[in-house]
Amino acid sequence: MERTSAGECVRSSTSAPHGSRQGSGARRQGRVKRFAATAPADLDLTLVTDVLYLLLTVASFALLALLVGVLDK
Amino acid sequence: MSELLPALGQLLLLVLLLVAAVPPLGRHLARTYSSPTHWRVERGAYRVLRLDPDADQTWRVYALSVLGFSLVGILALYALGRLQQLLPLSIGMAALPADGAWNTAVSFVTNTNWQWYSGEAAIGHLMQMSGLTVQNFVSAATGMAVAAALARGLARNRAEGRVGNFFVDLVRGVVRVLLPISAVSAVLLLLAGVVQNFAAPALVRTLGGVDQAIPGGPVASQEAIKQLGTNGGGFFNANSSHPFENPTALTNLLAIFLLLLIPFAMAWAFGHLVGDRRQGAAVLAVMAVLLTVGVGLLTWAEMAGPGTAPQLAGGAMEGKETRFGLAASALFAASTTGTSTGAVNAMHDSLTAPGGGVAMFMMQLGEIAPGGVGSGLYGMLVLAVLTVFLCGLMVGRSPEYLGKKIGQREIVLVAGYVLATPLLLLTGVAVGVTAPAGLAGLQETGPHGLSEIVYAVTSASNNNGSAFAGLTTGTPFWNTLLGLCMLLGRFLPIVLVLALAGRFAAQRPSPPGAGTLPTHRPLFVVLLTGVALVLVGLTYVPVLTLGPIVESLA
Repeated sequence: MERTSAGECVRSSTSAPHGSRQGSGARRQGRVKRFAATAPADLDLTLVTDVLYLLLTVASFALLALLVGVLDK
Repeated sequence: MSELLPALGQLLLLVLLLVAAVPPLGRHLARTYSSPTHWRVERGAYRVLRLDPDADQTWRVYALSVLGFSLVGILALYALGRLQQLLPLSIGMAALPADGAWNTAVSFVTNTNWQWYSGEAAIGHLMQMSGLTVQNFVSAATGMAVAAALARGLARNRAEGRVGNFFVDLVRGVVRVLLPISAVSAVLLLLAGVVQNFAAPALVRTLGGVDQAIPGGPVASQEAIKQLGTNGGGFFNANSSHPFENPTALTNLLAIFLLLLIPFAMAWAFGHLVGDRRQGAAVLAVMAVLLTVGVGLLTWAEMAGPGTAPQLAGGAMEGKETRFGLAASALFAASTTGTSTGAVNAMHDSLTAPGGGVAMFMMQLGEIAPGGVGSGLYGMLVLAVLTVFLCGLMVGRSPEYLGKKIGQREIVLVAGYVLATPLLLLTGVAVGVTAPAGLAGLQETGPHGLSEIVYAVTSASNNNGSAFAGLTTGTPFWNTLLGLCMLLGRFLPIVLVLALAGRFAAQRPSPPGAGTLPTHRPLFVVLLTGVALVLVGLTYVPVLTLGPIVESLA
């Protein structure tokens, strides 16, 4: 589905019509294409941010684990 | 007067329900955390986890197990949020932004359930069920496990710092307590009108000719554990004021009952775990006194509602559901902030200035009235240790609690616990009110604007999760700041509590002597209540003065 400038949802011309037959290879290719079409928009700009948030999480828990070690002495 | 009788009636009904349910559940909780036998389903879980359920952990291993388990939970929930659009049952919901996914992951793993998003517009069914609801169970069970470990530490005799097995406590908390009560509660909620389906939003045309999407979903099943586990994250943005989540006065009462049930029962269980039921009763009494004061003050504030409109309406009804009324909203607000639930059935931003101040104060007490599942008990026990120590200083009595000596190392841990949350909270507020990105989200200026920020940071640092609203927090700045407050506000105290449990577990209890302060008598209840109010509460008087108190005087 695609959203027009008016905000209404219409079926994308590239998507397979409902009920059409496709081989598994074509289906897989379709999935890859769909992922390629959707992934960059969401992941491009935020890949670095993702890494930063994961680092922040791991660093916070590492500090807490360090505190456990200090208190255990 | 017309509101006063229903207010007293619902309070009486609630008290009767709790009096009937807390002792048996407390006994069941004590058996859950002390029984040497494992259920068959639990043995299956231990086989999958490849752990020996009969091997006790030292406090250090216990704490690292809590941290490791929670870290995995955050990473898994983050992945679910970021990949949501590619997963089944996402009902067309897009991936969450990185900062939002992180905030949500931290929020649900820490039992806070702060929500920067509208549930019905951002979260699909898969993430609701396999992400958020699962964390509702395990984060609650984690808090209960830590409380059980502290109780064991106080009860054991020279156990070399061994306080139990975290994974056993976790599995038992879920299997023996949370799942059965949640299942029964979900059915009751269903019968009372809460929705439960897997449908995508139903599109309807209103009488006014406007198209409207009416969202459904597995609401009842999430609602039950949301209240029982003092989680509070709503399926819908309006939380428990949404008619699909909380349709009637009956479901409202059931919700309040569920969110108070385990915190009070944990105090009762504590008495059984340490072999002296009077100790549990004393702790429970302090929780009950603080909650009663909070409910009374909040109800008074909303009923007396200053201002022309509230007086004409007979009370401050703005932002409240007419199907619940003032009293039920005030009772809900005090209960949800006294526990770490954070669910709301009225908009807290619309509470009167003193009412909002009471809600903030209840959270700032450290969620001990009666607090979150587990966290309420261990917070209160830390204050009990501090009270014994202070009394020992004042009257020359031997500072020991349940026969365990309170030495320098123990009191350093207690001091760290008492200071950790205020430090996080006040630092968070300072950053929020000075950073342009923090001020950008404000809806109001002046004292109420400050209250919006103080409430948000208070809620996050104390793992409550309720929102004052008004402040727009779905920004990278607020998602990150509040996420850090939630994460450190949860695990820093847990580490200190487990260290304290380990110190106590390593000691041989000394028999009570003439110099021992009795900790089961009414005098101790008064002292502990006083310490909670004075020491913890007064930490926040300056910030409360600049916010709700100035607003009430304006």
